Amino acid sequence: MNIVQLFRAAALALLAVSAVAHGQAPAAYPNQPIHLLVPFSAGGGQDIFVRQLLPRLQERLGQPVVVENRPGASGNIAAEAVARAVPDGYTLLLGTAATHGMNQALQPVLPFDAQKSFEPVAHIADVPLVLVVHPSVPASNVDELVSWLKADPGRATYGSSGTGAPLHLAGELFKRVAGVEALHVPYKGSAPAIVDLIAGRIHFMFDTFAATNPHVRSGALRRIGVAAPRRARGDPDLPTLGEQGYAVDAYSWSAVFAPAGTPPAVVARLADAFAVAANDPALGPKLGEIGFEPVSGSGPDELRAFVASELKKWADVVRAADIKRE
Amino acid sequence: MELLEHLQVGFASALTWSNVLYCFAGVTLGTLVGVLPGIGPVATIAMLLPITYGLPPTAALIMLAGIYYGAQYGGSTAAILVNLPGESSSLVTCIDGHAMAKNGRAGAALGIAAIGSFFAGTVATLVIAAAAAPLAELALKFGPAEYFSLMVLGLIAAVVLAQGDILKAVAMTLLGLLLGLVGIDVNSGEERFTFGMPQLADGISFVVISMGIFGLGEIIYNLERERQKSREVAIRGVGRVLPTREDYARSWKPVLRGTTLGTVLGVLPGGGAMLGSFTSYMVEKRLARDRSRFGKGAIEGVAGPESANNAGAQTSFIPLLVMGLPSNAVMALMIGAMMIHGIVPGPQVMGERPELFWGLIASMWIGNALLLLLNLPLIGVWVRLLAVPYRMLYPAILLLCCIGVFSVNNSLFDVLLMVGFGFLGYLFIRLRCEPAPLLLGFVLGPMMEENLRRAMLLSRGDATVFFTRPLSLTLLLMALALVLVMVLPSIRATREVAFQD
Repeated sequence: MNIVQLFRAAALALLAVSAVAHGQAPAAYPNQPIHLLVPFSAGGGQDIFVRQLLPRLQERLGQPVVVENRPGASGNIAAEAVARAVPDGYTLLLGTAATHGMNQALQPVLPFDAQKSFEPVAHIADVPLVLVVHPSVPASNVDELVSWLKADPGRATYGSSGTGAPLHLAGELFKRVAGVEALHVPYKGSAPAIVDLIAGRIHFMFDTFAATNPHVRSGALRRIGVAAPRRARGDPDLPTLGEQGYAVDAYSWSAVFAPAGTPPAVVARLADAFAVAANDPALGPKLGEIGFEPVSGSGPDELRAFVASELKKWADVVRAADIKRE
Repeated sequence: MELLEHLQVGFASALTWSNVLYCFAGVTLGTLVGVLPGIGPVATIAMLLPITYGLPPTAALIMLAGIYYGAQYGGSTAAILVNLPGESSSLVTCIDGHAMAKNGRAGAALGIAAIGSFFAGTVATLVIAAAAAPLAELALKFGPAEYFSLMVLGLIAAVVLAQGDILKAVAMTLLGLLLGLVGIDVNSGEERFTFGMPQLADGISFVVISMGIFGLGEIIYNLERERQKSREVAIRGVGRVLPTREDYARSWKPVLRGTTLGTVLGVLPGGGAMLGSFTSYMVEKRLARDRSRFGKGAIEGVAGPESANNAGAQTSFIPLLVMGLPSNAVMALMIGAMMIHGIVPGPQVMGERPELFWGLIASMWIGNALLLLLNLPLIGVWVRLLAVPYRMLYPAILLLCCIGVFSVNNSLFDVLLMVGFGFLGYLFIRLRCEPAPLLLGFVLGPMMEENLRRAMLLSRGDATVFFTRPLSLTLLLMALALVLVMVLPSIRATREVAFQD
């Protein structure tokens, strides 16, 4: 038996028991398990993050939330499935900067519309990206990196987890803001790119705290800035790129979306539960370790505005860097 | 002796009752998911990750590691008994392992696989304890140019795997290369051969192809023979369960060679365990006095690769433990598990948490011993499974294949795709085309392309990098030598034929 199914069966059994015990009225939302589609394989950063929230969500909603991993096509497969789901609040999407920002800018045709196909529920966490360099690069801050890059525009290369991936667009955004040249070298995921960065075959890259922490601590890499509007809990001493004079806000994020047409009362109920779960102080240190910064006070309206600004930001970057993905 | 001290710390930590128990739970679960086709260690570890939050970190890591190398043992069982390679590393085991099962020697195949794996696991554990740091340096020396040259060597070797016609083997390898191209190209970000289907954007999964071509294809073929009343699938008498003295005599050298190859290649990030197993197969086939036995149930073709893939599974922990670098998806999950427990993977773990570092290493040996104890008695059970009438066995295999494929991405599309590959697999059997080179081309081709283009990007278009870097040059020369070895006898043979005329 598949373990997902085992979990689901166990969840259903629990549900049956609790329904009998409490004699719940069937009309009240939620009265059955809620499916949260995660557009990544089990065990990825977003997956680990959201699984930490499950017990708190169940406490708050009185129903289990079941994670369903639907990876593929930069998150588009999961997003399309939720966009087409019945808008009853039982199928939700864990959206990211990719599904609700970058993909729209990169692909001319998408099977969903990041704004029209969804009801925004809650923006629950940010995943800041940090700028890391190989120790041989003579730069301990962004200014020094920029002047090193400008001294010989043809020498530097930077890695990413793939063309059009957040790490790539962060690099392009940096190049545009700082007015520097560097050759983009794409990898299949961030781990092999980090290997080449440690070996000194590439010079710098943007990646998460989680991916860079071990190597920064061992001295294999140097971290020179965080590409977020605020300093991160992961390393409060690390200045943002903005503080250093380069306004590069390149971070991924986690937000919950429901299919368009989901009743406002249901959306409000979910927004409350997810906000409370993500901001549980007991989770703080764990989330910091995996590079997630909980976001509070960003409900449906704030998220709607945020998605609009993200779509615009990444569309500009993609246009300026002339990146295409068919 | 520093090594002895370290191992002492490790065994003191790993030999507590609870840790042995978690180790046992891990390897048992690993064996189970390994036997079930398609359901791999990645999915299992990912699902179990939340459960390990409450455990002490050492116990959690011991259990998760146990699932991983336990699955290598289980994977060979499925490959031998029902010709289903659930993972690329058990691919070559199918060739001679399943042939042995058809000859009624499933027990011997399973036995030598378990014993070879245990030996390899023991050696690899010692290697990790003694030489992890220098081996990790080797992994860092492997850049795109070196990987490209290694893949060239691998693809040329893929042709050696084929039993019959070299032309057919080359054609199958090329078909595999083409199938591997499906999906988003890493370098340009363009989609290739996806026909606008988002389900194909990330390429075709290995599990889909191998279950389809190996599993379903063979089922269709067997059922057809059943109707012709001439079927004799696996049961020519269950036969002796354990390997014979002659089996051991044939196997001990392949086990030693497989262990060495697997230990070294396992350290390389990306496909290390698989490269080890099939390099070992290739070496055994080359060295054998009677090559015609290969493909028909040569025990060397099981002993070598099985030792290699288990050794590789162990040493693939080296980059993780020494540098915090994941060499495959399972290792990436292990990093996640460590971080959840507040341990930052990397070189400092050895100094800061010796009980965890050496405990995990010592547990690998304990786990291997437990696997041997678990698997040897199980062989009798597995072999009896083959006596189940085929009309009852094949629906079960079909069902497991479907569940396994579905579980990878929760995608129905993948299941349908597997059915398509099933018919293709049947066609290949009828046309007498070996599927193994196709799968190797499928796995190695995209890696070769990716690294070729990356190496060229990094060198700014200078193709000489492949010859100026010593490691890369060595690998290319080995590939050239292999081509010569393959081609020369046939040239000589043609000439002899010509002279006879």
